[in-house]
Amino acid sequence: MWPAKPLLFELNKFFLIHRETGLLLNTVSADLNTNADADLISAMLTAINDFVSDSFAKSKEKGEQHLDVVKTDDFTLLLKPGPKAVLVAAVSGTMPQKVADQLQLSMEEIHRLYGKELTDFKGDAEPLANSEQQLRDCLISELKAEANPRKKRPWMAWFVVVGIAAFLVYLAVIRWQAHQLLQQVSVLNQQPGIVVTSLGLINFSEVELKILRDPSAVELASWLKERDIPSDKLQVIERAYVSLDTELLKIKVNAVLSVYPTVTVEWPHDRPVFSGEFTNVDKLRLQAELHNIAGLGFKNIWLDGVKLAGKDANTADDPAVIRAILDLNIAKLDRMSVEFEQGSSELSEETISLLIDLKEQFNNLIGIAEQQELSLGLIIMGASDPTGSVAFNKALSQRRADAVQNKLQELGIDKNRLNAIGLGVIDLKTSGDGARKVLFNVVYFDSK
Amino acid sequence: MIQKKICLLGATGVGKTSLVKQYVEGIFSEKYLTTIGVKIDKKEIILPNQSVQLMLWDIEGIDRYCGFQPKYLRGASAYILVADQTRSQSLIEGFEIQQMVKAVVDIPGVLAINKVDLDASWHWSTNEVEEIKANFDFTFSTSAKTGLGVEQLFSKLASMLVD
Repeated sequence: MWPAKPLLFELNKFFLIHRETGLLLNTVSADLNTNADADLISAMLTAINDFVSDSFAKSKEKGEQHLDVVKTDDFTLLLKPGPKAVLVAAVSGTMPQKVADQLQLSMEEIHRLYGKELTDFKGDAEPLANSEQQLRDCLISELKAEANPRKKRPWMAWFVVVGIAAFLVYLAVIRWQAHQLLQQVSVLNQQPGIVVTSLGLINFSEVELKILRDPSAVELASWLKERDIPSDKLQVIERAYVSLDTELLKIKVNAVLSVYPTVTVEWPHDRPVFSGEFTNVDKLRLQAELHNIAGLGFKNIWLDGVKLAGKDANTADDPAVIRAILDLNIAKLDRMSVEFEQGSSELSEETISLLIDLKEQFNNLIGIAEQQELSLGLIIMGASDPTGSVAFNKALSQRRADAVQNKLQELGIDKNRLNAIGLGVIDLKTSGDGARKVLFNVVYFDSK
Repeated sequence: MIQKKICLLGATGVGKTSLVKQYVEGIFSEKYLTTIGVKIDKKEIILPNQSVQLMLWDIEGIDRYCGFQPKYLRGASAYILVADQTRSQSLIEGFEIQQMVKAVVDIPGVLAINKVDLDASWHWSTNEVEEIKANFDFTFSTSAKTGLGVEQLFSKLASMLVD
């Protein structure tokens, strides 16, 4: 049966016409019904062809003219003349070029198969009855040619659909992998000393991670490696910060204690309790190092639980060594300074924090100095930059020194050990803004 | 079934078209005669042993002032020249047409002396008519009006062509 759905074009009928007589040799039609008018149409087509040939022939040299295509809006008669016969196809709809090509092939095949019958034709078309097969083949092949693309189209479509599906699956997989990575990395926030400030998907398949990391916290690369988390899809932006996390403080304290094998620490209620024994020198060193751990809030009394080893047992308790350590720590205090805004003698939060630290270290040194029979004092020197009058700057530098002295006194340093001096202008070309500060100088005197 | 191409020729107004009108199967309008100069009909003749389908190319009336498409004669098995016995001129023109045909093809010719239902008024003597008839394979007297001789004409023509 013919397709119920209309084709873009439809081959309605084929005529095989004897070229000389215009007599119909054979015909096939798509509806399988023999049309009684086919022989009349064949003859008339021949007459029309003759008419056109004679009426429009330009010259005999150019040979006989013949109709090739007769076309209306939606109907086409395609004529393929051969030496003995003309093959005509009646096509409705928009006819593709391949129909003409196929018609030409069929016409040539008919001449090859029935050349003798065509030559001997005297009006009896019976010997050419089998040519119906060629005409039908032609008709069928054309229909197949049209039908096949219809069958193929789904394959093409399927190919595209499968391709798109595969691509979508691929996208889904890499997206899923990115989500997995995101989830794996999200627990990084629980790590002491690491704060995840931003975590999200970027570029469809990658994860961007922004963190703050205390230098004592675990290295990110190590953390990822421990958990077999791939880092190639991870973009990391890391900034340093100081963590006050208890767990990290423990790590820092343990790191400090690692060089003091005789001292141990316990953390009941997250507060460090030291025990064991150490020399005086080790005590001083340990105190200094524990003071330097930001956020620990170390107090010297925390080490009271640690026994002091006998002086004779350790050459490190040699007074010269202790003196050297004292000098070392005094030099550290001497290097400290606090800065001020222009024309101001107010202490900033940062300055107060620094002064707290200074107070701790200074008071620690008092004990060590007393062991050496020395008395410590702290000279506080205020200064200003050249902006303004000399008198104003002199007064400003004094106010700055006084402000620092008062604060240190308030923090717990005996006022008898403090001496505030206003230096006035530090007029160095290289000083710049750095001139607006208070400097420190630790002095000691023999207290014997 | 054997098919044969037959050309109907004759001067204008001799009744070629009328002669076959009632005896043929046709689908084309007579306007084709004046557009492309030919109209084609077919006539199936049942002979004792077989059937013959005559494809009748009714060629537009020819006069001495206009010729005809010689290509229309190509492949024809025979021609029927129609003359009007009421018009002397039609026979002369028929004779001239026959000469034109012979110049193109060598095929059997039949003379149909038409309108025999009317009195002959072409003033040809019997001898003269016989002389002209001798140039044809056979002659029939026909009447498109009464149908006289028409079937016989085609039957005899068909028989002649298949023998």
